This record gives sequence, structure tokens and C-alpha cells, in this order.
Amino acid sequence: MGVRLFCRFRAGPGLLAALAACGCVPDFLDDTTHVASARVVAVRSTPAEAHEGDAVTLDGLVAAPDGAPAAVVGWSLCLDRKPLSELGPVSTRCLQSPSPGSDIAEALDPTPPVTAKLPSDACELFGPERPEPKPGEPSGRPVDPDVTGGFYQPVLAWIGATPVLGGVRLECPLTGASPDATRDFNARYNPNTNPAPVALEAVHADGTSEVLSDGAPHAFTAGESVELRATLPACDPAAAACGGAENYVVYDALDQTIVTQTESIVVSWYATDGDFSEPRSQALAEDDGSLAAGVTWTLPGRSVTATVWAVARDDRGGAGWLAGAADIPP
Amino acid sequence: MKPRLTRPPALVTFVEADYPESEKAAGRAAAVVLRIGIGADGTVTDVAVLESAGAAFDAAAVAAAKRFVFTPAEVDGKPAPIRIAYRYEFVLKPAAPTTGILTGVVRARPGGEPLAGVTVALDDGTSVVTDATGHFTFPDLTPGRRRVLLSRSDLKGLQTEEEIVAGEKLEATYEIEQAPVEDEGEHDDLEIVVVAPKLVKQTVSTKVEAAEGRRVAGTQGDVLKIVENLPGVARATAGSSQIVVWGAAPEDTRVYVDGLRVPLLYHFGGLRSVVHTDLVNSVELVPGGYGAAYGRGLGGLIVVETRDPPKDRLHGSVQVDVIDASAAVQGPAGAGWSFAVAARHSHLDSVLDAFTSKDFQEFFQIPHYYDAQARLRRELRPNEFVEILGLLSSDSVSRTVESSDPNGQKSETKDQRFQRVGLRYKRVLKDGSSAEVLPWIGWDHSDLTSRFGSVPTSLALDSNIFGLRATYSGKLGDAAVATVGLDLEGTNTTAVRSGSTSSPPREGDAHVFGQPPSDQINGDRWQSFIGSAAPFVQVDLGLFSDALHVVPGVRFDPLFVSVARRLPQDGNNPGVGAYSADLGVEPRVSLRYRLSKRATLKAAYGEYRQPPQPEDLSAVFGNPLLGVASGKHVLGGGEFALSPTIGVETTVFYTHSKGLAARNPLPSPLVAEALLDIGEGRSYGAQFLIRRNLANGFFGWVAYTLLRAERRDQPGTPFRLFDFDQTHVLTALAAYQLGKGFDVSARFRYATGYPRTPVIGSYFDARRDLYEPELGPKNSTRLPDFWQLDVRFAKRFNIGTTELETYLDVQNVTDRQNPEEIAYSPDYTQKRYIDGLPILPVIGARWGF
Repeated sequence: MGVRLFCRFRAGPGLLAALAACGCVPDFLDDTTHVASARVVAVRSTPAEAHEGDAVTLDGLVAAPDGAPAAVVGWSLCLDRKPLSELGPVSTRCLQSPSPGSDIAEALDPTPPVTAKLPSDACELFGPERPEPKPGEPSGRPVDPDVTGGFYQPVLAWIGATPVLGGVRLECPLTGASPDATRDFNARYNPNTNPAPVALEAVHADGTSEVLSDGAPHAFTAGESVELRATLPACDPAAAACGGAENYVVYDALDQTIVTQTESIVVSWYATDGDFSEPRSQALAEDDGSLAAGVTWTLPGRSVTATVWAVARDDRGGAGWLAGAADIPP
Repeated sequence: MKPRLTRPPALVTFVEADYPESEKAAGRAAAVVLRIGIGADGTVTDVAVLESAGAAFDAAAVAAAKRFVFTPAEVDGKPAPIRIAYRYEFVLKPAAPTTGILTGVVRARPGGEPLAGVTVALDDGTSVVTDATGHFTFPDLTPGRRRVLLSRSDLKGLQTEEEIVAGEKLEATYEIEQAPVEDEGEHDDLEIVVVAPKLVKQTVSTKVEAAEGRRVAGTQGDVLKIVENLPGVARATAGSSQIVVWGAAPEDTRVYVDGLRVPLLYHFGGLRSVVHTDLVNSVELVPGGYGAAYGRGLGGLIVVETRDPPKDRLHGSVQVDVIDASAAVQGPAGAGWSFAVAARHSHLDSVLDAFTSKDFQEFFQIPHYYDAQARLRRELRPNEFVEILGLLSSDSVSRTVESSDPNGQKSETKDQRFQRVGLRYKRVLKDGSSAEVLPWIGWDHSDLTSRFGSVPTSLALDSNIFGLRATYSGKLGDAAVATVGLDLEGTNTTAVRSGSTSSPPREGDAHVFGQPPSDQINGDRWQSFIGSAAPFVQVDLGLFSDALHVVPGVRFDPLFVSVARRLPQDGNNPGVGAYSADLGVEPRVSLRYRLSKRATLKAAYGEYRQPPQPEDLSAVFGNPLLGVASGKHVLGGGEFALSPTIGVETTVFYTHSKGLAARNPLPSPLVAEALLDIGEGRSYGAQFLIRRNLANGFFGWVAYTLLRAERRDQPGTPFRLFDFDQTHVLTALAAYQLGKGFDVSARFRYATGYPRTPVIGSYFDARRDLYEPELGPKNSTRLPDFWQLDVRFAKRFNIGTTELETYLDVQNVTDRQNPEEIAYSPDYTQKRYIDGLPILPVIGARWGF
């Protein structure tokens, strides 16, 4: 990691040559894709979307420098709604380790499978339902949805002093819409399903490819650049659930219309060694309707067994991942 | 029987003799003994001199005595003629003064040599011409305030006012800039008057000629940019067009151009003002404590007056540099008509496209702007005119960060445009009273559209504005001038907003540069109307022979706010509006006491109110029922003349405001209460100005402000530093005319760095795949201090009757890397400073005729 400061300008001829204006732009060289220490890089809820009061299963992807599977050591549900004066995604009070009996956060049993029962008032705490009014007062302000119309129960995963924030998408009633629009919305809405990458391939420069898995490392040449491709399944628009880019409806509060959108899926890349051309890639549609996200991975120039992870995130809060291993023999 | 005088005559009508001028001048007194013959009817029939005091005295005494009237004398009880002896005393006594004297000398500036042949005219039509030593005298003037106009065909006209006091001689020294000299022509008939802080009359003021302001390094020839160098004004961040005065938020300072309120003084980036320099006559910066004529703002006041279109001939100029190009034309347009038009268009974005990389423009948004002004005046008769004023300005800035990383894609576009049209009528009466009426209309548009990753933000405001400013000013006796008026303004705004409540951040938000906005978004569309019709009155009382001026005033400002939607849209239910009214009385008073010819004390107090911003009246993002914010200003200080050319001003001040819009601190705020009017602010400090007026080709000043500005976002919490707090702001500038058309000037600035909120850690948001900062106490750290040295070189050439000026304005000549912002690595584990512009030479030329 490091930082590079550089000025960028080209001098011109004539009178304007004196314009040597340039800005010194800090260009940080830190690489968040490099796994130098064990950290949680993804949090997943199954199902990906649930009603308040439902039970969900939580799991997290812990990327470690040795590539070995590891578990999240602590989980908690945040029960504290953040004020508007806090600009972050979660109440800062939930970033502290939960104490027993706290009404700010609820600690969960970290023994897999980790089960969490969503609060029965989650749609009031973190959703569109207005909090119960106090006598003589109007009801409170609902939480704003994200760009997909979603609301999330904050979940915190711990493997050290600093938590990682995840979220369970809440299936809450639509509010603020007309009865007709609400009926239409409810009839057309498909709850989210986690992305399910089906394959992680490495494509060599000569066009040959290999499917990577974390069980049996494939051999690569030191310093070789390969294209990693994570593929996701094609989705039938009529299907209720799909591990690819699903269609869903969202209510546009400004125009008071129901809009059909297709999920956007982004794949984030992590590796114990080597360099990626980008930290994450947009999954794009292939000819057969499936999705594929690609990135150039330059393998290290020394003998090592490297582990690579591809984490697919859809924009409705779902996540899924694959891991693969690459062996660079001496 | 001998007749007997039974009743002597009695003098019932005495006529004072004219004191012979020759004798009065000689200081002689005398007595003349007269023999006065009185008829039976009491009239004087004849007068003879019994004892002479000289021909002049004798004649005067006889003439007066002939007009005496007596009661008839009675002899034996009957009216009868009689002769009496009468001693007429001529006593030399000082006459009670009924007039004053104005005398003085007119000198050239620079240089100070006396100017002969200058006509000094008063508003009553009298005039004198200066003699060979530049002196003039009005020996017998009626007391009161008199307008004085100095003119000579080859000089710039100068108008001022003087207070004539009976029995006193006022000695004045006027300096007028001379006409161009053939080989080193210096022609600039503009004048800028900077007043800070201003009382209604005889205020603390600093006067800077336009020729001076234009020559100051770092202004690139823009006169109005001189405001940045005045005490009380914080240094703006590089690339910012905001003006922060005495710790007030930028939007709290009101800007007027010829009585038309405009939303901004500078274009985006702060590179240029929105009014062409050739049209500027004066600008007043009033950091606080201003009078009752203005209101609806908690901060300072900036009043720009454009110059009257010239009537002698056509004037014009063309200016081009690497930033923009502009042109202005003004002059007569037929009998009684005159005009002025100017326009400007930027091309810096095109220049930088050619000479810098795309990366540069990703960090520094290059503005694209244009503006235009027009003025058409019709003189109805002397001291009476009607004119149409027009202003327009447009700014846009856009940047896009392309990236194959979906989270790294960013774009931002900002537009701001405004237009104003006003019709002004003004008449000045012979007694000095004046009346002015200015109805005006306008349109404002602002639009912010951004996308940070997948999170969009947009805020568009369209406002139709109308206003009326009417004032009458006239004397109330010998020692008082009253001003009454009406200041009316209405703003009807249509707003559309979508995005996160946290974007764009508000003052006081705990956030850091580059922090991604929340992906919780909403949308709202609303209309609002904010109106006020404020009558005001103030009286300028001159007491103790004008040594003390007390200016009490009061403004009644009823503020009406209506919003079309009280609550967020709920299905198809029709929206229910909201309406609020706030009638406030705002007392103002200012004092100014002249201790001596060299020392004057001053003080002011004022209460001010400000309606909520239209963008804060959303039922989703703000609060339609936001109340009116209020504030108080208290200031005191003095002015001291160290020499005829060096003066010192100092002012201490305290301001307090409450009812400021702040984010609702509750975890579960009520509907339509995302903002509450619970914020509070205060600022206090002192400002100093040491100024050397232009003489011998040199002028300059040192301005220093020591200030602390604080806010708190809810009652009961400790005050924190205001986002724009700057403890120390020092500006030192100097300009020198080298001769032969060469000028050089330099400006040095030092300022404490702006407060920032520190990052104390970070955590990973796995759902959005990005890191979020953990923040320490708000504004508990600062950017490093700023200092910068700018220089300017200019050379003027006379080409026939025209003038060409070329200049090189070099900012940051030491190429110092001044941190302007803190940038963090994606996981917030590292930070580095974003530096401001390095050495920046701006070459340009101006051709004028």
C-alpha cells in the first residue's frame, strides 16, 4: 500500500504556454482485493429477503491469506435506528460489541448454521412503516428505501474488533402508494434470491480455459495474466427465483409509478496473491442469456498457491460466491 | 403764559443704521449727536448733525433717524412739533453667525500637486474655480448638507457631500485622478467604494479606486474580487465561489446589484464576478450591523452599484485572458438617453481541455459561465431619470469519473442561472431629498445532478421572483435626515429532488470528502412561496455640531411562507398545504462619534431575520414548517488617521443566531421533520485594517481578522466549530506604479485551515462493497494553514486615443502546495491532502477606448 502524488499537465505553445496549471492528485495505491489478513468480504442471508419476524440463516465469507476456510466468530443484529444526522448506513452505536440484554444490538449464537430471528417490528425500525405514534403526536418518519425499493435489517459480523456490516432485505408492505398501485405491486413483486455463480473460469491468452475450484488447484505459469470469468445463470423472467439477474418491480415515489427493473450484479474479486485489473466487474449478459463478469488477474512471479474469490452481489442485497485455487509450481 | 411740555415724544420705531462697511472693517465705533425735528404727528421732519463722527457715520445716522417714528410730543396737552437732541451710538459687535465657510484645495492623485481651474459646484447652483494653488472658497454658505461636484474637462468627475455648520469653516482636501498622460497614459474613470461595516451615514469606510482594485494581484482585473481581500471575509477554498463574512453561512449574506437581489456575486470557481468591471461603480461590504433598509439575511450585506452611463461619448473595452473574454460598451444614445451593455463568456474549460489531462479536471471542476448586463437610462430632467436594468448569469460545471469499476463511476453536474429585470425611477430634489422606486422581477434556476456508483442525486429549483424597493430620504430639520421605504420581495419556487437525505451534505454534517452518500433514497416535488413586504424607517441624527451621529431605525418584516404539500405524497391523496406567518420587528441602531479630526468611535446593534431556504421546505427532505431564523449583531470600534494617507480601522463584533435549520437528531423523527429549526450559531472576533491610500503611485493595506465561529445543532449540546471557521485571516497587498505605464502589485494571504471531522477508523459494508468511515468529534481537526503569494505585472500602451493594457497575473508564485481538502484511501486507512492550484500564470490583455 502507498500513495502516489503526481501532477498531470501538458504545456502548450505560444501565449498559453504559461498556463502550467495542474492539480496534485493523491492516487492511493492500496489494494482492497489483496487478502493480507483474514477478513469478512461478504455476508449472506438465506433466504435473501424475508418478512419481519422470520428466521434467516446467516453466513459470511472469510477470506484468509492461507486460503483456508474460516468462520465468522461473532454475529449481531442491530436494533438501533440511526438518526438522520448520522450519514452512515448504520447507527454508530451498533458498531460496538453488543452487551448482553442490550436494546441496541442482539448478539447471535455464532455456531453454524447461524440463525437470526428478524425483529417483529423490523419494518418500523428499518422499513417503510411509520413508528407507532406517541399519544397526541403524529406518526414518525419512515426509513427511505434504497434504489431498488429495499429496506434492510442491519447485521454485523465480527472476526476482530471492527465489525463488517451486512443486511437482510426486508419484505415490507408498500407504503405511500395508491391501493391500486399497491395491489399491482404486490402481485408482481418477486422477493430476492441470492446470486448463485455457477462457474469460475480462468481463460489463458491462447483462449484455452479451465474451471477453478478451491479443492484442486490448477497449475499456472508464474507472472501469467489470465482472464477470470465468473458466470451466473440465465433467468426466466417468469421464474419466481433465480440465481442470476432477476426482474423485480420498484415503486417510484416521485412519479408514483411501478417500474420493472432487472437486477444489476457486480462481482468483486479477492485473492491471496496476484493483481487484478479492477477490484470489481459488472456482470454482463451473454448471448445465451447468462451473465459473465471478467477481470484480468496477473499471477505472482513466484511459486505459490494462490486462492481467488469471486463474490457476486446483486443490487437487492443478495450475495453468492465461488473460490478457486491456482498453483504456480517452482 | 409760556408754553409747557406736558408729554415728551417717545421713540416707537427705531431703525438701526447701516454700519458703514469702511468703518466696520477698520473696527471703529462712534457716536453722532443729531437734532431731530418731530412733527405734530410724530414723524421726523428734519435731521441735522450737531456732533459729527465722520461723514460715513453721520450719513448713516441721519438716514436711520429720518425713518424713526415717535409718539407726538404734547405742549400744554396738545400735539405739537418739537426738536430733540439724539445721540446715535455705533457699537461694533460681532454678528451671530448664520452661514458657514467651505474652503479647501484640490490636488492631483497620484502626486498631490495642486490643480487649478477645477470647477467646484454646489447643489444650489453656485460654483467657484480653483486658483493657481488649487484653492477655493465658498465664504457664505447656508448650513446643512451640501453636495459638492468637482469637475474639469480633463479630469474624472468627483462628487461628495459636506456638512456646512454655521459659523464654522470646513477645510477640505480633494484628490482627483488626472487624465492620461501621453506616454504613460493612465485612464480609469471607475471608482470603487468599499465600506465596512457600514452605518447609514458617515460610516466606517475604506475607499478603493477601481484602478486600484483592478491592479491588485490575484483579482485578474476584476474589481469586485477585491471583496475577498477585506477584513472580516474568510478565505474561500480554491475553486469555491462562496463568500463567508464574520462566520455567517454563505447563503446568509445577501448580494444586491443596483437594488436587485442576486443569488451569487462570483461565478463558479470564484474566478470572476457576475458583473463586468467596466460597469461597476462601487461595492459595499457590510459584514454586520447594517441599517433597516435591508433584511432577510443573518449574515453580511454586499451592495454593488453600477456606474451611470456616460453622456460625453462612447466608451468601451475588450478583454481577453486565459479565463474568459468580455466586452463592454456604454455612452449616449440620443437626446436624454444613455446606455451601458457588457457581456462575458468563459473559455477556461476549452483552454484546460487543450493543455491539461482529463485527470486534472476530475478533481478540479472547471466552470463554464457567461453573464451580461444592460442599462438604458432616460433623463427626464436634471436629477430625475428612469432606467431599465437587466442582469443575467449562467454557470455550469460538470465532471465525470469513468471507471470499469461500477463503484468507481462518479459524475456530477451543477447549473445555476439567474436573470433580473428592473425599472428604476429616481428623483433628487433641490433640498437634497430623494425618492427612488425600483420594481423588479427575476428568475433563478439551480440544478444539481450527481451519481456516485449506483446512487443518484438530483435537486432542481426554479424560482420566479418579484420585488419592489421604494425609498424616500429627506431632511427632518437641520440635524436629522429620515429615510422611509418599503422592501418587498416574493419568491415562488418549484422544486424537485431525489436521492439521499444525506446528499448533498449540510453544514455540520459529520462526513469526509469523498464519502459515498447513503443509498437510501427518496423523492419529492414541492412548491413554496416566501414573501415579505417590509416597511422600514431610519433617522440620521447629527448631534453636538455633527460630532455624534445616531441612526436609529426599525424594520417591520412580515414573512409569509406557504408550501403546497405539508406531508409527503401518500398515494393519490391530494396534498394539503401549509402556511405560516411571522411578523417581526427588527430594531437597528448605529452610532458614530468624532472624537477629533483623527479619531472616530463607532458602534452598531441590529436584529435580523431570515426565512427558510426553499430547498429546505420539502416534506420528505426537510420541513415545510421550518420557522424563521433570527440573529443579532453587536459591533464597536474606531477609526484613526495616522497621517493624511494612512488610516487604521478596528472593529470588534459579536453575532448570535438561532432557529437555524439542522438535521433532526431523533432516531425516529416525525413525518415531514427531517429538519428542525433548532440550530444555533455565534461568532465573535475583531478585525483590523491598516491602509495606505494611493499617493506617489503606491497604495496597499493589511487586513487581519481574528474570529471564532461556532454552531450547535440542537439545544443543550456544546458548541462546535462552524464548517467555515477560520481563526486567522491575514491579507497584505501593495501596488506600485513604476512609471512609463508599468505597474506591479503583490498580495500575500495567510489563513487558518478550515475545520474537518477526523476519521478514527472504518468498517466494511459488505452489502454495498465499500468501506465506511468511523468519525471523531465534528470539526475537531483542521486542514493545515494556508499561505500564498500572488504578483501582477501590467504594461499599458496608448494607441491613438485608445489604450491597450497587457498583464500577467501569477497566483502562488512560490508554487506552495496548500492543502485544500483531505482525501482518504478506499478503506480510510490512509489520508493525503489535495493541494490547491500550483503556480498559475494568467496572461491577458484589455483594450479600451
